[in-house]
Amino acid sequence: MRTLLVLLTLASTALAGEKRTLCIFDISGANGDTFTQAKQMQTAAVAWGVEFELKPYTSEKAAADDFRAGKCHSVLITGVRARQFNAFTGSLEAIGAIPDYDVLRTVLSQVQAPKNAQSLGSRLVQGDFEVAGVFPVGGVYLFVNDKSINSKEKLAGKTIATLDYDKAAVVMVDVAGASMKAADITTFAGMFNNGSVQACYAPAAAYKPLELQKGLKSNGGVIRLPLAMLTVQLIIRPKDFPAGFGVKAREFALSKYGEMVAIAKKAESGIPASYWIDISGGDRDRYEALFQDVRVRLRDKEAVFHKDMLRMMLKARCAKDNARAECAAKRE
Amino acid sequence: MKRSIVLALLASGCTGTVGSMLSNGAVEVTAPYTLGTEDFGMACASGVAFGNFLMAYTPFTDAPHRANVAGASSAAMCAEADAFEAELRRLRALFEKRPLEAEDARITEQNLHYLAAIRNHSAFKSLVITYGAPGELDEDGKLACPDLEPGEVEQLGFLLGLSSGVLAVVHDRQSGARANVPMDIPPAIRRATGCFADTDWWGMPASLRSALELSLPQDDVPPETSWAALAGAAEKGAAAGMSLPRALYIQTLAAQGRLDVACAEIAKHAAWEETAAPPAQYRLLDTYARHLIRHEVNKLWTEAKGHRAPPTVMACPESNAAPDAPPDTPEQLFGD
Repeated sequence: MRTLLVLLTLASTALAGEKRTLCIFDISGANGDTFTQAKQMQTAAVAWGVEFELKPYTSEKAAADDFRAGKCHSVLITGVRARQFNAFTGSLEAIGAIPDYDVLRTVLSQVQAPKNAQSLGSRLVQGDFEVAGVFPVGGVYLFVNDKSINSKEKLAGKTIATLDYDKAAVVMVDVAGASMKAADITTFAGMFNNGSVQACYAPAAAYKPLELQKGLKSNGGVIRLPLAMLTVQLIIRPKDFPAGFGVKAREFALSKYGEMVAIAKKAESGIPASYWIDISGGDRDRYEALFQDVRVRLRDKEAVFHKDMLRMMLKARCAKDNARAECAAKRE
Repeated sequence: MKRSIVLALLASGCTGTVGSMLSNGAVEVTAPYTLGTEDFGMACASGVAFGNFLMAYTPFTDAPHRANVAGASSAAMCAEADAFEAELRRLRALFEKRPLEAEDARITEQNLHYLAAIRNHSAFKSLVITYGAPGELDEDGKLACPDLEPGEVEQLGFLLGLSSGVLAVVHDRQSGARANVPMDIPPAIRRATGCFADTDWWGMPASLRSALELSLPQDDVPPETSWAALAGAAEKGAAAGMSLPRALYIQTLAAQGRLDVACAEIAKHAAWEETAAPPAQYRLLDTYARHLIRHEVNKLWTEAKGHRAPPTVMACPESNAAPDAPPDTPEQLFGD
């Protein structure tokens, strides 16, 4: 017993004395928004007994691969890329599942509130990995080069620049009857701007730095219906961190919700009003039905989305608007 | 009544003339003089002290904007230097595991980044008023550039104004995007560097363009090409006695996590510093560049050892330096 105590003490001392590497994907490296958030996390973590060493990555794949290979103790990557480490929070970006920031706040609060840590335990810790924070980046919107592409029927046959490592996006494009052109984060804007695709999807934050107005030209637009809510997620190996670190880190991430969403909303207001395409009620319903079909297929047939997360998001949508048809149908 | 209107018109006309004279004096006399000095603190303090004095004339004439390009960017250097100090304080507090001190330093750092962002943005907005929006195309579809002679000090001012636009964005993002600096500035500046030959101004236009290419996710230029251009500009700058391109190269390497190469470049800079002779009329820019490189070194030292690098040391701390060379063999040590 005494030996065990000594060993435990030694182990915790070693843990406290060593730096934990946090590999951060940020397209702008150490000058970007995600890295800036990580610095805040680094400062807060000192009080929890963790000394982070921050390492910027401009390639998300490299950050995820280095984490998997054990070169980083933790990693900050988008939810789509984090899905390989945790299917539960990796389903937060499920297409059309979070239609607005109210629903996003509800879901992220439930996922990250310390009081729910026990109930969510096995969902947040899967295998060797734990989700230790989810930061919102903002809504992902469809940019089209022709405003008349304003319904799901009119999307059929169009070519969309698609991130091919995201299986959910590939299925979505297929179900919509559109064709995909494989793209990555460095190529999609060029494809849209030079007219080789008719549509692409991106968070509003991409609009100005990537000059997507060149692809929109005078006749294009941005459909005001979030295809997904992009998040950045902190994934850790809990064995490398003190007990309870995940709970504290998630609570910290939740406290940053307002700050991050304010940045996202600023970016959205930077897109000129004339570009926004509002979808009429009927078309919106058809889009939402299509999104739900895709989510259910990706849950049941492709095992991409986690059923509990889809259910949580359904409940959050219905908590805001119980009149939605899906609230009675409960397919998710 | 008529008399008072006439007097007011005369007064505003005189005020505009005074504003123009002051601005011309600042651009044609003060700026060249200041560029030749090496007291970076005095130069940035002058920007702070004279900024409002000059810009107070803008209701009567646009002339002060021409001087404000350099003035506000100098003022931003003060805020940037203070932000750097707050950053070192944060890193020191992290090293000593003092969370409250670290948090206070981090908040201070963000506030100072905000100040640096609004001052740099002011310089960039003045550049737009004086020379037109950079990176735009003219009626013939060609890149529109101001009519400035290569080698002319005002052309350097235009280049520094473009750099201010980039710095405005960089500081704003680090402030938490509080200064609302538009994110379409970087791609416009990237295009506007085409107004210069790559050989102009110690390779700085190529440096600036390449650093922007690496921070914007576009695939029209392969990253290896941009890195090679940054490295080439660093050498070109060093050969001309100017460390500004190397400073930008080191900053970009550090920001993208390539610390091994950054440390190798810092070592090159250290060797170069011993014999370097910056052009006398631009000493201030070289001093500023050395200050930027010194800050990168200080950050690494503070993370590794809890304090900045000693003033005589221009090198990464041991933990960040490239692996040591293999030990000498007995043959190497004692052989013929």
